[in-house]
Amino acid sequence: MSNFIFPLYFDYSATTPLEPRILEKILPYFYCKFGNPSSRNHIFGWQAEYIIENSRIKISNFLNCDSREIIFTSGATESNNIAIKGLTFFYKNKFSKILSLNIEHKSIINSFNYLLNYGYNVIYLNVKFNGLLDLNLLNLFSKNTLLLSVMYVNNEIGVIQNINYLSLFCKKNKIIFHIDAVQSLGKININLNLINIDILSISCHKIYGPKGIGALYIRRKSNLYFIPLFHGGGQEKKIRSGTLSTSLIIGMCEIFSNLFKEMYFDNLKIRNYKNIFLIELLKIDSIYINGDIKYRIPHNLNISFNFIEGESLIISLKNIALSTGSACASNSLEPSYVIKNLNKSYNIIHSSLRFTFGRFNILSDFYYLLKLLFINIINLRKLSPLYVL
Amino acid sequence: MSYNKKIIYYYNNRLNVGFLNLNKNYGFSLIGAPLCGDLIELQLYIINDLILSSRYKTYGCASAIASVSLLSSYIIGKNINHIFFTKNIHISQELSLPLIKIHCSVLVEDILKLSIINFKNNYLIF
Repeated sequence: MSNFIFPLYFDYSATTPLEPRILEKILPYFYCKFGNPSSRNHIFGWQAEYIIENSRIKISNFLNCDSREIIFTSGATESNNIAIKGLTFFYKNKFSKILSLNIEHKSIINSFNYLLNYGYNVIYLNVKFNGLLDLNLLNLFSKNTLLLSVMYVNNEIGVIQNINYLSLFCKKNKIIFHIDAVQSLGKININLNLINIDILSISCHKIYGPKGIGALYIRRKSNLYFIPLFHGGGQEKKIRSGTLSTSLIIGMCEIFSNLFKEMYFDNLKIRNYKNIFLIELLKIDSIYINGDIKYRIPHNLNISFNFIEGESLIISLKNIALSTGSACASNSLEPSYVIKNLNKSYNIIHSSLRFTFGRFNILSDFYYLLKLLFINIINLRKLSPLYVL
Repeated sequence: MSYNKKIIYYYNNRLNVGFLNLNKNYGFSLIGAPLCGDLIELQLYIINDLILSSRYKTYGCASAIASVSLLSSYIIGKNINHIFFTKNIHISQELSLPLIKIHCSVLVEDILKLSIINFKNNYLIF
């Protein structure tokens, strides 16, 4: 990798670098204040427990909920698994129908597919051309349903689902409502007092925090019970056993207290950069934007360049980190299943590229990327047999 | 997908791209479908059973482009009866293609044979 001199990062939906201010605050908790929060006999344990309860309160202040409703897990994949498998195993005798979208993240789709073996009636709802859920379709499944699992913001096309309507629908029909809010965190204000969500899963490494820490929110009023997936010492209300890592939780707490101040200005900056990038990009002919342009977070831009395969364009862009789809599926040969499920034509499916912008991008990065894009798209279109002048 | 240095080299320095305007003495064929993500077309200019020049156009991933650009520069100046027996193993070993990209070399083997057969058919008729 010697020829990669100054790599530019345009893949902030996959993961983000750790904020340097946070790193200094994390470091003492690895060596000096290392106690186990569940040991009640000495000062090291008391100190660690005090820190964790304090940071639980700070996180709940950001989400506007009670501090007892938050459970720390190792990441969003584990949160989703606990929410879906643990819940459906407990209510096994009551219902049999569970709903989800077909553009969901792999951690949700694969755990739903696992539940098929246990006799559940799994239904994937189709989305419209722009990636939004068809709300009239929902009325067919209003009766005898246990769970509805919806992504707040999609990881590949970045569309924002109508969570407010869905939560009212679920409250009316007594359906348990789970949302995966990993990508929406730090981009949209989530107020759990206003929106009636039963379960919510979040992750820390998408908002400039450390990897390996996430959380699960469970509403106290809705009285939900879970069967634990791990059996152990009974930490975190016997839902997720295992020793909590104090250092990562303090990093998550600091990130959440910073989000209050910086979220609005960050989004404004990135929205301006994205608009400049998009207007300059419109000089190229026959490009398609995947996903709705209005109901979309400012960080995400999923574009199909016609007549070019997406992967070959990525390799010709040197020193630039991009992706065709989500990072989980980048090792397989298949094109992105999210864009496949939007019912687009074949040339759009194969040529999609995902640009996701973040806090550490500067304006000159965008112009460098544009310059390389213009040159390489002309070269690759000359190569393509589909492109006839 | 992470590619090795050989594939990146043949991908970046691609020769023989384009289309020749010829009336006779050429073989041309097209393989693959854009639905699968790979489409290759190859054109050979042949006189006295010798390949004098070749041109290709490709829609596909980097390993498909690299294997066609390797083949198109390799076959120039060779006899078609000799080159007809090129196998996909030769290409995949030369480029050391990853396992899930082996089908690119199979496509390249097929397109070479198809375009030589196309030339022979034209030669017999006229």
